[in-house]
Amino acid sequence: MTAAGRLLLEALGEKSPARSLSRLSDSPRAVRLLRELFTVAVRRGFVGRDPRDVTAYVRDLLEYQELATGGVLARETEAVIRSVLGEPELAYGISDLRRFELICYIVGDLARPPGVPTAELAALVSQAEWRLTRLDRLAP
Amino acid sequence: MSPIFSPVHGIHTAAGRYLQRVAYEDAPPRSVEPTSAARHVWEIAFGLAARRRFDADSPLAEIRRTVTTTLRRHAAAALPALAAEMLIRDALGETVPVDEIGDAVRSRAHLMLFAGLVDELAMTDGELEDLVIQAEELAVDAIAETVRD
Repeated sequence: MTAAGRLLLEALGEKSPARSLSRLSDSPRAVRLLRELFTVAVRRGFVGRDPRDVTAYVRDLLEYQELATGGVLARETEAVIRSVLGEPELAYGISDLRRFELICYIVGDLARPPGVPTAELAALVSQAEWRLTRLDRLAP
Repeated sequence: MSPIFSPVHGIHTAAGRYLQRVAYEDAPPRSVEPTSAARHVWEIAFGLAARRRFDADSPLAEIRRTVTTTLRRHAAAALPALAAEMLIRDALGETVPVDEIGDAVRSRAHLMLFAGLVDELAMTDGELEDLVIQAEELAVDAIAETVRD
């Protein structure tokens, strides 16, 4: 596993995973890997399911974080999730910084008790690393 | 009943007439500072049209298609697609995040989507008029209810 991968796993093991992940914003490699981890986790969680499950999940996530569930934050969170499920246009109006914050919440939620088992989390990170390597290879 | 005492047929309010014009693409889906009563009529009419077009469990893809087609037609309006989708789902009775959508955006969405739904339903002039009249009546009932309370 790469250093960036280890950083992500460490952040996910801390008390406030979302906040710990957001502190990685200084590391471009970790940020790119986090974005890929987000894509992998969301696709594995939602592909093939009723799209309305995303709405329900977002409500649950924001309730857990004690954030407002009925407004723009919920819509933006849903937009960011659905953007990697084949509807990229939904997130066009959301700034990069905001996307990053929301991604930290969503990826950090993987550690919400009982949490994804460590081995499974490591496998998700490996898959994200593999995607990143492939993207780097495809880049001109 | 004597024709003198028959209720007057047709659309009664300026809001209703404006809605009809938007559906005929004879007016833009925005109005300068509409009254709250006008917004109310438009919201009710939009809800009636949405429930005529979709069921509570209609596939999301179908709702998205309507939103995409409508927004494409009114690209200049720059309406957030997810907000528009949520307004339709809300009208169908689903619990979805529709807070923090400003009055201006909300009304624009109601007008645009109403016109899009009327087009998809291929409503006749008479059906459209009946729908607008129904919305006006429901709006009056709702206002009367508020006053009574």
